[in-house]
Amino acid sequence: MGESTVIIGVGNPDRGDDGVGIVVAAIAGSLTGVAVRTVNDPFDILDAWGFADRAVVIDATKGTSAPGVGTVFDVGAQPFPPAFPSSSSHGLGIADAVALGKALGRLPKHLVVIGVEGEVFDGCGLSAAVSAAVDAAVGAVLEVMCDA
Amino acid sequence: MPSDIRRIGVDYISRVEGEGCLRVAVRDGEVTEYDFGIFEPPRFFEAFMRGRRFTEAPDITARICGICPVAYQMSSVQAMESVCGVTVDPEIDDLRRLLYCGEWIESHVLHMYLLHAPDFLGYESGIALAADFPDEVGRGLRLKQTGNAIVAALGGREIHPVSVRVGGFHRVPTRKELEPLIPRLEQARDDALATVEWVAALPMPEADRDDEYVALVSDDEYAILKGRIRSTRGIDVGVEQWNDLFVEEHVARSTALHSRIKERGLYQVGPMARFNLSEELLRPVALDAAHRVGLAAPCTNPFRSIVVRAVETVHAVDLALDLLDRYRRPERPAVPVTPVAGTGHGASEAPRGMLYHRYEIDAEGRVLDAQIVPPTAQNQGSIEADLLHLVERNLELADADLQHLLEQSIRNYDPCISCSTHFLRLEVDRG
Repeated sequence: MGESTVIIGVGNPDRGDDGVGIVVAAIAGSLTGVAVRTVNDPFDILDAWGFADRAVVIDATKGTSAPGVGTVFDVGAQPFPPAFPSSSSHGLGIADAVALGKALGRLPKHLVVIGVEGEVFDGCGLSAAVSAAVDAAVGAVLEVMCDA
Repeated sequence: MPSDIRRIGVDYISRVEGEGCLRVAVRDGEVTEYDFGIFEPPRFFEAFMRGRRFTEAPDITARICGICPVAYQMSSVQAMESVCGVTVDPEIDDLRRLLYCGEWIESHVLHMYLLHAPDFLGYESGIALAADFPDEVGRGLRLKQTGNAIVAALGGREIHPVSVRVGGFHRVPTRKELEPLIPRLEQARDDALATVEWVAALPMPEADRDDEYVALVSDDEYAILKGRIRSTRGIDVGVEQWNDLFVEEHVARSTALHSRIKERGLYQVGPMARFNLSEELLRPVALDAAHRVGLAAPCTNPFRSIVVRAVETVHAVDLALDLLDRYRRPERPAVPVTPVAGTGHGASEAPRGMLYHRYEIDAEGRVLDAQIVPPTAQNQGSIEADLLHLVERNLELADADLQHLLEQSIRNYDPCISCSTHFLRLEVDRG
């Protein structure tokens, strides 16, 4: 797999579970050899996927379900919820980045967003509930890769 | 409600950092009540600093704002260096300027393209704007990413950079590491010049209002990192005299302290203040761009602040290119700093205006007292004065149109309300 596919981890590792996207992206990247980008300003997501044909974005969510529960959105197959509860505290959220990419004609042909519900958003390291969910989230990324 | 009474309430002001509210009461064609309130919880950063090591100030205070962390780092390190009697090497000051240029570009471009321009063109958001102006918004994204790249290259990451320390940097980059920024900045200069033309052509409400403008001023450069405090009505003092001239007051409706000049009241900091005090010190390419679109000091219409931001973006890009051209890796990343008991003062020009820090430390380097005066707190009085000015002159507008105009007016200041929440004395009566 070349640069036409990219895995993007969004978050801040100094905000507890907000760093789950970065952890999942790093593991999935090392298993697949796919290029990995790390973004802590959602504004930069468009730059991170650049002109890739396919992108998988992993971010923490807040307020949707029990900690550790994952949500997978295939942006081409279903409308992306405008209120996707990204845990970002500044600037754009994932929903804004997707909407902006769409407006600018800069969405990858195949874009999948994987959210992992966080529990604790301060301090370093992941909570137990979210740590336990990392394998499943990595599995969800690999599944997207295999669906090509 | 009687027909001669209009109440206009804006409970949530979108596209500003933090949250504020605005209430206006009109009776018989006269404004009888108005206030701009802030209802974000207090954040106690000055109290957090007490008891911490003096070396922790840049990393702790940077967390006050995710948009302008560099400003907090620069004001705090300069305050600590002043109390300890340390002067950093000129090469380190230049690197600090370069880092600051990155933050100005990031912050100004975000505000212009995604937060403020939609107001002028009647769009509800930057995303809606992008659908009709994809080339322009794409240009804004490209510019902002160049600002991000500068901050990441010098600071280690785009948000909350980690390389700044009292005395200098933890590590300074090699020339080779910074060289990839040069072609990006050359593109950015073209983009920034195009931005000046674009924002200058936006439909601009008239709202000129006499105000006292306050900014750091340096004799030989458009001040970003340091300077003396000057105003358009004659103030000219060192930053250590901030508390002699200005005072912070608690206002019941807000968790932000409001600042005023002791002798005469409200004043304004920010891009217009810098421009009005230092226009001739802009980089020539920025000054030419300003004059080409008819912008010259004094600029007293706050809606034109978007044009000043664009001009300052050209300045920051061009200054960054100059600093990179001259860059040689400093021999040492930092000078040693030994704590000295006393009080230190530091101020720098955050994207939104002058940011003043004062710290008292003991001989062990523990912080005994801290004072942090962010630009939005200093602008509260001017924001309210603008609102009153606009309401009084636009009472004929329908509520929705007037609400839009007032929200746009608040965004003229790019108010980072998260930064302006400040200090609150908490008293608990337990019977």
